Amino acid sequence: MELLSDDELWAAARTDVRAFRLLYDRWAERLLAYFYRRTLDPEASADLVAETIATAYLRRNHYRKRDVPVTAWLYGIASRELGRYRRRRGAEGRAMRKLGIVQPELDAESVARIDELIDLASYRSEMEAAISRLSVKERDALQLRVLEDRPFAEVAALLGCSEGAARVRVHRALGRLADWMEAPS
Amino acid sequence: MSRVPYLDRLGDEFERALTESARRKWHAGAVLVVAFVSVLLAVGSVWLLRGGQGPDTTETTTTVPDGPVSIDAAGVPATWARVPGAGTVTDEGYTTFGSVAPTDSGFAAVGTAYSQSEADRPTGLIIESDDAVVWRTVVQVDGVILTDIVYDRGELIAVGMRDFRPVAVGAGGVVIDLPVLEGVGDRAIAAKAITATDGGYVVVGDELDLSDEQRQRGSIWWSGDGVTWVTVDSPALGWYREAAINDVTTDSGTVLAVGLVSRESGTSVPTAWASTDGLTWEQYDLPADDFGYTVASGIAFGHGHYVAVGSEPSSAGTAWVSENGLTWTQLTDDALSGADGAATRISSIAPVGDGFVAVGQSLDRHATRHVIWTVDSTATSWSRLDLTDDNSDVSTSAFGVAANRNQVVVTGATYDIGHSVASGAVWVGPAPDSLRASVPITTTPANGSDDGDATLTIDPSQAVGATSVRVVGRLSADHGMEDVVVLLTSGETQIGLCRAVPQGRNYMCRATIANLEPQPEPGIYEVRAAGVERPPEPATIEILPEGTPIIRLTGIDARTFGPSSVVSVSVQNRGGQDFDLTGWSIVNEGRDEPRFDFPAGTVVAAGSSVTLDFSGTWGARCPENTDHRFHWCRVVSDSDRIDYREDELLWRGGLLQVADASGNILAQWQPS
Repeated sequence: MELLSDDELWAAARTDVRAFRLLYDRWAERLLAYFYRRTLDPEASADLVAETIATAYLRRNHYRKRDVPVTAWLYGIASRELGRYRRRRGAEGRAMRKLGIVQPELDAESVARIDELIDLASYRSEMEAAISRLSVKERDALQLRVLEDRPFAEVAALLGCSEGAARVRVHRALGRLADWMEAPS
Repeated sequence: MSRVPYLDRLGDEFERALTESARRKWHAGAVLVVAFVSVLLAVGSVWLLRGGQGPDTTETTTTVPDGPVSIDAAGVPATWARVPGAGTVTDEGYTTFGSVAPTDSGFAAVGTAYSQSEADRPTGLIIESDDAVVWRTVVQVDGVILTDIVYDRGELIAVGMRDFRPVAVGAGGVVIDLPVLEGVGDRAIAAKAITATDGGYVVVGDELDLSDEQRQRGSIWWSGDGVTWVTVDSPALGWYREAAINDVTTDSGTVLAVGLVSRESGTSVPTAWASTDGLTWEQYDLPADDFGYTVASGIAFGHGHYVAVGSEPSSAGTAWVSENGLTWTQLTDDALSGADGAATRISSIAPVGDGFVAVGQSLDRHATRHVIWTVDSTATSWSRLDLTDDNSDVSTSAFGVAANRNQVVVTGATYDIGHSVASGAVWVGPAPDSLRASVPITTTPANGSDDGDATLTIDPSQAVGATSVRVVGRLSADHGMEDVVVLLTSGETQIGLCRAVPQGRNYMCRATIANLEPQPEPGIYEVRAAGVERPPEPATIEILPEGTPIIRLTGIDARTFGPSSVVSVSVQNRGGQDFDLTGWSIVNEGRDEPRFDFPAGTVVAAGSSVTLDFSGTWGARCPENTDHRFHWCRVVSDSDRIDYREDELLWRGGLLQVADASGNILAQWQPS
């Protein structure tokens, strides 16, 4: 079974848990690295891996091989989960609940290993470069809201703008960072 | 096997859930029938056993022991513990505290309460305390955000903004609008900091041109009496794409303010403004290794040195020192940066005793944590103390610091991430030796154990300002054992209550309530009666040696699967030092076997946990143990599959308990 391709395994995984596990073992690390590069948050990345795989399993009958390879289809799901996470600042967890998955605790050892999955040093420099591309006002808003956890009203007061403007700056800054980290120029 | 243990466990969990799901589909019909019959039988049996009566009910009672009993104890040192109650100024909405200043009688701090029902409408707060422990609100000003406060010549003056215009607020709650320069239209102007000079007061802040958001400039106001103010119009306060003045201080001769201004290149540099009269100013750059967005956030004068603090674009804290206010040196010290590259920002600094104390925050994986630096008198040697809240879902930030007499106070805020609620926070730290005063202590606990001697343990790091401790009541706990209620007082003032929970036959007071000082020798102190006719039941109080681990057992339940309905339990070391669990074990209440013995050499780092998993189920793979994660599994021979017998289950109801090497039960947890 180990010699089967992803697409072949996926076909078998619809009814065979062992095939699903094999695919899971192939995908999990890559998915974790995918999410960690984009969130830099190990907890969120762990949540997103679990939810993405659960969603893929629940939607397994929706996959049509003639459209795209199953791996591409999986990353399409991952991308949508990432988008939901950014909008809600948290993984949804609905698919996991449907399957009755009890998510394991993310221990310190795993957190340390996640760092090893990607070249964090170079990634940090990418992030710093991306942050430097933000406008000063956006950086300030990010600093006050995200780093210092100040309420938007206070962020607005300190930046001398309306609360709505402060929210827009933070939202826009996060979005631009996300875009740049996806395709750094 | 994955390089990330979490992924292996998640894979196991998928395998289990999908296997069970498939099994459930096959047997769903039969399960429904069996369940229905079982419920009928169970209900009928219970009803018959009770002679046809309804179920028993258990009442929770609270009793108070007769009269106080007391012991003599030396006391324990205050550490950077949070003052209970401070910050809960309003019942509605949330608060943050800004700066704090010493006064003749103690301390005064500013804060802002935001109303949840009125779209975060702010109310400026001035709070005062004589002992840094009991705080009272002395001023509430509607619509105002307050950021800094000074006490001088018997007067309190706070500054901030109202409707994007700068204001000063006196102790009587009188709001004075600070004047703004001509031509101000669609602009936002904030007063951020104030200092008292020989000739009056200086307020600094900045101005944002909203009609053209490419322009900002610093703003400075001067007053001789704190009532009549003038706006400084100086070439040193020009328009920039970005400019801010964040703090100001004085050595009675020179007034120095710090912030940043932008350059044509797009970078921003840390900047200082200096004046001898508060009206004429000069601007110059502070040195910065990492040009880009280095900002100076706070400044103080003490021990013949000006010290400025801030942050660099590399997300490290930074500091500068100067003897004359004109020639500055940027400091390099590992303590300024966060561990493992955690982003650090230093917000404020104040002279304290023989040195300085600086405060700020760092960002870890989940939240901000307040950080306190103790600094020597030349500001060249920095010692960093990262502080954490018990609750990892709570961010903490420190914005202000001040010292007075024998106490150092840090103000800031906590932020409950899950509930999006901020609360003002006050922490009180140990005074430097030069400021420390001996406080006489009378400690009066009595826990009234029903079965012989008992010990009440208070972690020295958990309390601030209490001068006496007295057990005043008992509470029936959910797990069937009695908790005791401990009252902590300072003189005649009640500081708070602590719920002390049983640990074996003894009690542990875990809540963050109060500290006693000075520190007594670790040991067990006997309880002696004081003013009661009936002799107290035997009791003692134990002062823990520094570094003693505070062990906590927590767990995760899952009643839907598995051999024992428990997914995992974690043993957390809440103490300040690493601890070796060799010889310790996890047992089921009332049973000696089976028991899980921690492998020799299992060390749990301060603040960390080790976890025992029960999550394997029949037919699944038994994961390999790691240094900090163990698995309750019995592996079938010639297979890596798990098998259990009923008598091998570690938990079969009741409490799970952690026992030390001597068999003393030190913590327990009741799976629901």
